[in-house]
Amino acid sequence: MASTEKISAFPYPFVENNVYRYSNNAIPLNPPIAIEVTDSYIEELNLKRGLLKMHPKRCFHSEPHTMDAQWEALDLILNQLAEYYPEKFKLVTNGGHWIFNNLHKGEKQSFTFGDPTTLDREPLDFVGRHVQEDLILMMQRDGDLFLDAGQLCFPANWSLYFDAGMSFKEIHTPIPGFQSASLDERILQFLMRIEAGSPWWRKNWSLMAGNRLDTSLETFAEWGQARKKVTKENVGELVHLRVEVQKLFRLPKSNGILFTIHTHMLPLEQFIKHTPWLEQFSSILQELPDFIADYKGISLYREVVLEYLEKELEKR
Amino acid sequence: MFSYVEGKRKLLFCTDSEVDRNLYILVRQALDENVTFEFHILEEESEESFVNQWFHKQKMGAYLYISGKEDFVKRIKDVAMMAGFTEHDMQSLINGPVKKKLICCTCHGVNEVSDQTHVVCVHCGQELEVSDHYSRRLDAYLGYVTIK
Amino acid sequence: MHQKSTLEVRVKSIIKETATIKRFTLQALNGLKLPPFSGGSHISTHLPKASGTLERSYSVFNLSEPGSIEIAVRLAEPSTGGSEYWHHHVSEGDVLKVSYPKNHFPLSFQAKHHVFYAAGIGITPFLSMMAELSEKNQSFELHYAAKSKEQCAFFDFLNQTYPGLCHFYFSEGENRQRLSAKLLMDHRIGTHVYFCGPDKMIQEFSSAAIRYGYPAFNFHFERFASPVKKDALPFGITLKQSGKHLEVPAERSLLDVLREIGIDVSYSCRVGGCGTCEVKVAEGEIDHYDSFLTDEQRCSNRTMLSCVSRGKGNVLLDL
Repeated sequence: MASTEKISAFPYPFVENNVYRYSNNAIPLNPPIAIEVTDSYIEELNLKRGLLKMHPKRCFHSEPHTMDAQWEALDLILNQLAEYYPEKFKLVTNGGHWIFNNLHKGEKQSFTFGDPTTLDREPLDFVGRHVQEDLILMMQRDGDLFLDAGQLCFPANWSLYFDAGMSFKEIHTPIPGFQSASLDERILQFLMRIEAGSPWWRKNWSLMAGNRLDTSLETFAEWGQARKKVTKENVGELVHLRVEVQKLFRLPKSNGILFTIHTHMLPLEQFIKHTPWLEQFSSILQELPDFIADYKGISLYREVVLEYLEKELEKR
Repeated sequence: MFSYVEGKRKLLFCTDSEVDRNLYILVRQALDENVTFEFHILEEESEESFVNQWFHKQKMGAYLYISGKEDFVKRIKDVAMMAGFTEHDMQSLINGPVKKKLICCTCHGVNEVSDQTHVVCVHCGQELEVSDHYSRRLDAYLGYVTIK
Repeated sequence: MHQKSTLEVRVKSIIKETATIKRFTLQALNGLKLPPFSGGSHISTHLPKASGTLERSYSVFNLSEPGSIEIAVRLAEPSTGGSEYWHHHVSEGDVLKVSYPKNHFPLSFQAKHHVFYAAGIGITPFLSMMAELSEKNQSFELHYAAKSKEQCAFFDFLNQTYPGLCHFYFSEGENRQRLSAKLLMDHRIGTHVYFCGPDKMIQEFSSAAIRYGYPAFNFHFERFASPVKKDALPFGITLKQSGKHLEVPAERSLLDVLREIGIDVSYSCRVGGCGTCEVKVAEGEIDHYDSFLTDEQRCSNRTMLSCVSRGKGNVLLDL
């Protein structure tokens, strides 16, 4: 289940500040690519498909009115796979008749675009099985955004089943400090103004005891235990920096927003090899307010990590 | 408590009890300000088709107040929403106890809670912390597992 | 300033709908399709005038083949440049730059019934909205005022496509009829109403809606965005806490100037889109160049995004 990657490809989440607070840290996405195919493609795809098979209710949800948006998401992602990874994917479209060929996986699917009876699954559920990203559709309805469809296998400790149908602000009520200074309001305003053709992206981070990608809320009782098992001896190997690369695209036909979330993980012992990262992360973690550390699930082993980082710093 | 909303062309009141005091003050204000209103005491569930017709013939500018026991308020609210009322054209007030549903984060099973902070899931035995994370779709709160 | 991605389009055909209204059908250059759009969407068009590029927004619709985008432009008197350019300087075959479709006037999702009130060229956003509702089998009606049948763009199309759902009000000739806001009194609960036309008409219908007890949630209107001025001028700032006075030169942003003197304004996108670098304004007027703040926030003159927006003259900042 280990899915860690090379340090060179790791999306380091911090910018120039040595202080971390919740903020809208989104920037324009250039080039405008919604997906990324990495070395762990096959491994992660198999993991995703296994989870979808075992736990369909946990990993996929859709409201009936999201069909248009689901087709738009499929359109965008299949076209980008074929355009940016032509050696791995092919897409032939002849009017409404489409043939998608996943050469990497050795799978071929033909279907009629817009006709749900020609696919075995809903469009979002189909296309999500060909990318490493989790896919979330937020629909803009009556002046607000709602999580109306999603395929989610690698959540950072939240439940798609429970959050489905909620507004953006409702989803984020459990985050302490998120409502202060109306940050939730500001980010909602930002999201609602995203325009087609001008996508955005942001990175979100947390620490994770263990290396599971599928840290669903449903299985927290299992994987959360590892937080108590962090020791001086195993910290570098057990604790991982977990970074979500989130990309945001407006879908012009349905006026929905597609979020793609690509989760990356790197064990601390790899992460700290790059000294500037070690230095900056050490000061950020030192300063991090308790309410953020608690929410990110770091509090139980923060001290052990800090000691480890300081020891490493002394060695440089 | 209810608040009196100014500027409406017609007020609709409904309650499940003759002795409901919550609406009196609103009715008095409507009388004072000469605003048209209709008042219905609905005691039988069989009156649902009447309620449905009553709501469907309303025009924009109508405003609805629902007062009563939890089940009554939920039932009438559903009928009102189907007819086109939204949270912008109505208020409701529950008299008496409110049942709270809690969804177990581990097994998605539904538990009934009152004012406890912790419960044991009747479906999977997991100890859950009652949160204020609420889903309108499921009409339920989320129960979290904590690591001790 | 941030360059948003644009689309190159060719003017496929120009149809004269009335004496003053022309319809332009736009197509993609490469034979592909232009992006689809939701009901109520518009595009900004970039018009290469001799005096510089002019940006003008128009509602989009598509009565032609799939993959096209159409706009209708009324020749304004006097024209501020946009309609004059479209009417006199654009020919079939010309290539222009336009934005992706964007929607600031979307249909309500939970409405049980939709009613559109249009005056003159204000009909344009409703063309795409009615097409969407009709495709989804939802309930709607149109009330449309024009001077006469001849000056009523899309009269035949509307009557044929949505028989029984369109009501016309002509202010000239025989059978004169006025489009009255009193109609708002008679809509069933769960109706959403939409207004598009001259400011006066929007004003009249909005205040009537409020008077009849409509929640703000249930009525919607679109004003066409005023043109954006893009030249950056120097301006002065005074910081309320320290009383310090600074100049922001034409080629620098307020954000840069503030950070340089050690005020830690956080920021992210630097293109006026994410809202992170907002600063509070105590006094003064602002030229807003962002795409984040709402109209209400802009008009309040109490806030600005320091990465792109600029003060006029001197501005007192709440810092």
